[in-house]
Amino acid sequence: MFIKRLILLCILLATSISEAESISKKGKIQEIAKIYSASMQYIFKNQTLINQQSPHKEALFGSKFIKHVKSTYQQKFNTNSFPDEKSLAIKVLLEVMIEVMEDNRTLILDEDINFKGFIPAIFAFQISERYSKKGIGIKVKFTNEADRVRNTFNNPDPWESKAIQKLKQHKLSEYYDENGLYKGVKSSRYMIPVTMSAMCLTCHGTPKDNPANFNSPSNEWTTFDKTGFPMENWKITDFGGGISVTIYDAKIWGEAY
Amino acid sequence: MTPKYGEKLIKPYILFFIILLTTSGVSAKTIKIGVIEHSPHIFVSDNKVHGPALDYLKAMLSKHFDNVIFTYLPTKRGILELNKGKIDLLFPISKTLEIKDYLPAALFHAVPGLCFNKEGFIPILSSTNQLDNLTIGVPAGVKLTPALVQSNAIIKAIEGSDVLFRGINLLLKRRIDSLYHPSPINIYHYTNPLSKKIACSYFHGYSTGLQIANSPNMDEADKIKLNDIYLGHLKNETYEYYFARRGNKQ
Repeated sequence: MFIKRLILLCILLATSISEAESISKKGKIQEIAKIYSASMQYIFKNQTLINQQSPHKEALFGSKFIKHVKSTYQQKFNTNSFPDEKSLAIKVLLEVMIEVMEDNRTLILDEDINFKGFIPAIFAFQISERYSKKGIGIKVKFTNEADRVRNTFNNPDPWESKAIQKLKQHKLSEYYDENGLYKGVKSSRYMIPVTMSAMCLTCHGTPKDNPANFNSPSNEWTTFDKTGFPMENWKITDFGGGISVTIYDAKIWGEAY
Repeated sequence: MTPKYGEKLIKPYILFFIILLTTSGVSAKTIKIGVIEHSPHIFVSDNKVHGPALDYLKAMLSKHFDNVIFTYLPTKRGILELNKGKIDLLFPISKTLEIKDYLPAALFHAVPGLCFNKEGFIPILSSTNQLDNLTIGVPAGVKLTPALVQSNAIIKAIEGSDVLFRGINLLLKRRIDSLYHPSPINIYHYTNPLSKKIACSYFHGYSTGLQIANSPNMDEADKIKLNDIYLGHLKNETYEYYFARRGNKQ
């Protein structure tokens, strides 16, 4: 009788530990996606500062940039806190943001260039590329359905295509899969949708949304946006893409987390 | 048991050799490093090298070596000296068949791109339709990114010696619309006066790791120890973050 009770207790304990680990993993992968999303929003809101002719752009570099990303995060997700910066994944992500901004310092401060092309998607891609090379077993990416992606490097993989369909069909605010596959390796995978805004439509919308056409008759409108891509005629209610986070190296859970 | 006379004589020598063996190796000697110019990480003036990449490596190596000597070398000569064992390390260099051994991770990455006169600047190169019919100078021997190969740009090979220098001149004289550069940050950086005349954009997604190469003559134990020192230093702070953290105080 005693042994039976002991076995039952062990099973209950193991189940609750496993559930706690699962919740913790999801919380951590969520944090990465949310910080990445907040940083994109900060770049989005600061397009005027990025493109204007001014040497005073300190808010875009170093620790000041991170400070602004943190406050954007807190506003966006209605919280007073910020994820633990000592955890390896967060520490490296914030370092990568400083690296990317520094990479672009010459361009951002170039007073001879009016449109720098440093838009959220370009910033996000540079973050993704650098982050994936840090050898910490995490990949973060801004993706969309294959026919809606401009840079083929951002094409969704099979898991991401499935996640996008789930987000769209069920209007989910997130999609998490602890047993997802990434290049054949069992991985924790997570995606949140990106909401379309009026500013997105200046490039992805109809020629009517393009500021270059505002003072021209419709028969003279360009169908290309300011980055040189053909406009896609998207609407504000369309799916704006997804932020995909993959943790494919289980070691990351044990290290500094 | 009393030791025999011979044993008495041998013991101090054994002790001496043990001490010699344990204190030799990478911990107490000179390390010679060949350095290839790569601004804004490494600058060369009057044949002397300086820059943040050297500061980073010096901080790492001076804890383990009595003397850390950096010498400027052009790439081809650097490879020769490394393979002859005249220098212990050579950097920064992308992996090549001419060199067998490298420290275990890239120090930093180079991203190729296109440089333009400012009035013709194209910021986003993934929209390759913008490259249609542009004449793009490509230094001979430089591998092109697939995005450029697949574009409808007119490729003009730049032959001869010092092809990058010649390419920049062709661009400034407007004889080409753009110059393909394996690492535009070398010229489009606020530390370089050329950044007042030209602007460059990048083929993101096609970066190459720039490595620190080992001499094939290096002792295996020294190599292992050096790898550990390097990985430990990277784990503490990567060079790429160190460089970015310094910001405009380069």
